Amino acid sequence: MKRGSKLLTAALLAQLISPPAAGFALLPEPPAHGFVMNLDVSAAPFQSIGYGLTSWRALAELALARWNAAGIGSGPDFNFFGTTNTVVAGNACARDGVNEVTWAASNCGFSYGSAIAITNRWIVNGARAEEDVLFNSNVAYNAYQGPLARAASGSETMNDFFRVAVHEFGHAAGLDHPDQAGQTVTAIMNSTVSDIDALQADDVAGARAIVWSQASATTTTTIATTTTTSQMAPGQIAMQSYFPLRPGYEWTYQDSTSVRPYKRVIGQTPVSINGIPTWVWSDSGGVARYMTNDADGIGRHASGSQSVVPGFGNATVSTIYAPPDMYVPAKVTLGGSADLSGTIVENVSDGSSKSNSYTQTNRFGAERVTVPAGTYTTVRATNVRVMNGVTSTNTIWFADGVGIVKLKYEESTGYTQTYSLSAINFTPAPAGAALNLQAGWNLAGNSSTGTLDVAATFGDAGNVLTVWKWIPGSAKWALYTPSLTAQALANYAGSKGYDVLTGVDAGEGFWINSKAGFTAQLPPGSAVTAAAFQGVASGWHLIAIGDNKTPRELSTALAPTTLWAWDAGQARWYFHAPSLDANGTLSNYIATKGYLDFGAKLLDPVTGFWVNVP
Amino acid sequence: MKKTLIALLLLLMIQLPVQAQAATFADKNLAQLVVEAEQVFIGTVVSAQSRKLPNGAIVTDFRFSDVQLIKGDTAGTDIVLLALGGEVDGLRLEIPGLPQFQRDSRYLVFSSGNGKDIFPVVGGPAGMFQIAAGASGGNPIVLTSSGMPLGTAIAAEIAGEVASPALGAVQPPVTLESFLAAIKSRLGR
Repeated sequence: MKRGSKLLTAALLAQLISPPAAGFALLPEPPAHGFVMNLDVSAAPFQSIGYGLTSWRALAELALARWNAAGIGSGPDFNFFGTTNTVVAGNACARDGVNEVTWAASNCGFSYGSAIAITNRWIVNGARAEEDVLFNSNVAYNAYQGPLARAASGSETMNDFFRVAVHEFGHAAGLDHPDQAGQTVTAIMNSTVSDIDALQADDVAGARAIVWSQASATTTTTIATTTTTSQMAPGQIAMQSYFPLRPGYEWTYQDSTSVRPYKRVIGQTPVSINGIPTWVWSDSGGVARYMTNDADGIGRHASGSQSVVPGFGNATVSTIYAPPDMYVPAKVTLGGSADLSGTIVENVSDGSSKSNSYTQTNRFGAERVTVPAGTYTTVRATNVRVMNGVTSTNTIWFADGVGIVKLKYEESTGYTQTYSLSAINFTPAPAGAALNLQAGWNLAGNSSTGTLDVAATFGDAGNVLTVWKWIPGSAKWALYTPSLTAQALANYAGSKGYDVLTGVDAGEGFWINSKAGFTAQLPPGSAVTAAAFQGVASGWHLIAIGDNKTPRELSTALAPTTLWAWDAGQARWYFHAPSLDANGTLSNYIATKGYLDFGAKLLDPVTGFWVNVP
Repeated sequence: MKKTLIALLLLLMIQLPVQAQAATFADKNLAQLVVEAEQVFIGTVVSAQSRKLPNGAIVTDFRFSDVQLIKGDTAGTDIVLLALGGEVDGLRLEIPGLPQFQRDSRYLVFSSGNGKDIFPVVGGPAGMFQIAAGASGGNPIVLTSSGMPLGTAIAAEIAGEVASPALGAVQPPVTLESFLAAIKSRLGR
């Protein structure tokens, strides 16, 4: 009863908090399918005001990635948008099956008036079948963050292509202008371009409200495209979750030069190289690479040979790289580049050493690629290295939570080799899945095997009021608030009978009371599956799963008496009870109580939910 | 004093250029609507006929009858405005942000670029106003393109006052009579 009363208190507290005013505006017709956009805008690099060396196409890719990261529909679908592998000449003035994105001096012969970009929506049988986006080529465009700038002439606005693209792709996803629907909200989807240069909480809430079922998506994975956090500069992507170095992780590739599959495996324990713990990343060809993925980026510290089963035997280190050979920086800007030129001092195991200087330029982009293992939205890193008179080009496609899904090596000598991912032995991590929080109470979950560092993730007092986690073993709450010092928090929590909350562990849910909408990120790790909760102790548990089950599917593993999830936007509970579901009275019960019916809604990797286990 | 305030407003608009985004239009104040419109008229939409152009685009002809012309010329008794979008043979073209004329509704329209612009109304929704019957059969009132009370800025402009956000939605409705008087004042009549 004590547990029940505390839960009731929490529930009442959550319900008493007024949700933010209903926001966003949806276009009436649902999408017929996810949209693969034909980015018929130049890929030629130019020096932008605010995004460094970039291209219109890279910026458009980034804008699409932002919506994918937010997720479309209640699923949500993190791969709603894709891009064509090859750009074709589409016709925005007719329904030609091509979702054209291009510059144009007019819209089908008509003047834009004062519009700077337009989305033409083609609707067939009540569903949106095609979305064509036109950017007005008569007005000045560049790319930058922050307040709107003037063009060089001083009298006109210098339009920021990125924020306009985000806005137009929001239309393509299914959103209308909230301000024209009589709302007063902060949103990039408002009809007038402003200093807002990124998705806002209202935009994300709108994206999630679009009538779109992930189950009907044409993609095969649900991996977030970008790993944005509220602290990260616009346009940047943190690469850490794109190269998971976890014990026993195994990737199998098709090798363009061999009929045999090619495997890469992470060893079971770290190996120290020059005092730095590294992970042995060995392949079926007998080569071992000693890797780190940290604040400096993804780097190789040593190479060696391995004569036994890759990943499990002892490797012989033959070469140490000092400084390490960097694959990519920790953060990259799509459309941008990085100069990773340097010198590799190879300390060979026979005691000799040799030095090789090289020039290396890395360029980064976003690309949707299909390999035997599936279709992935990736960060593409192309590095061109000139060393010892040989120019080699490595193009690596990284997918969030998965790792390298494709790698192409080309030499100026004409030699080419391509690896394409065919299988992995782990469940792709939900890491990078955007945790989009709304102002007010949110019931969220950490379905990653990594621990979510609460202070690091929710330490911004401008965004966060409190974070709460239920401790089933002691039937008490753990509390964190960024507005108190560690000592003050400990004193306060102690006086109230709470624990101090420091981390949300794998598979745990938590409440967060937000001052404002913002986006956070789950920690790296693999997915906690529903099966992990089989045999859990009786009582109330606040949990999260990463394998996207419906409550009905979850019930086969967990068999709770009841299951509850909180809808922050509507400030209402989703409810499920297996016993009522079995006797056919669930829908009626939900209706009489005013709850929400899960239906086909999934318990996605960032949703926390209560289960009462008998 | 009134002229000074209007001048200040205009100066502010010059210093902070209004940004138009998407199928969206720059906001316009009454003075701009009057100056930029080629035609200003009141009319009732009696038909909306869509057709496909040779380039594949779909357009719609909106025919206005019972026209009261306030500015400009008209060749006949009716006025036809051409806008991008519409439906032909089950295929519909829509542009988010583009306002819609509703059949059988009566509008006050500030028109420009007919046959050339995607939507031939100055400022898009800013230049089209619904006309509704006043309370208890009183004077007709003017609403926004979506049927909402007029914003404080244009309402204040009509009333000759400086906009005050605190007024919000409780401001009295703007009558067609006062709106027309404000238009004619700016036309020098």
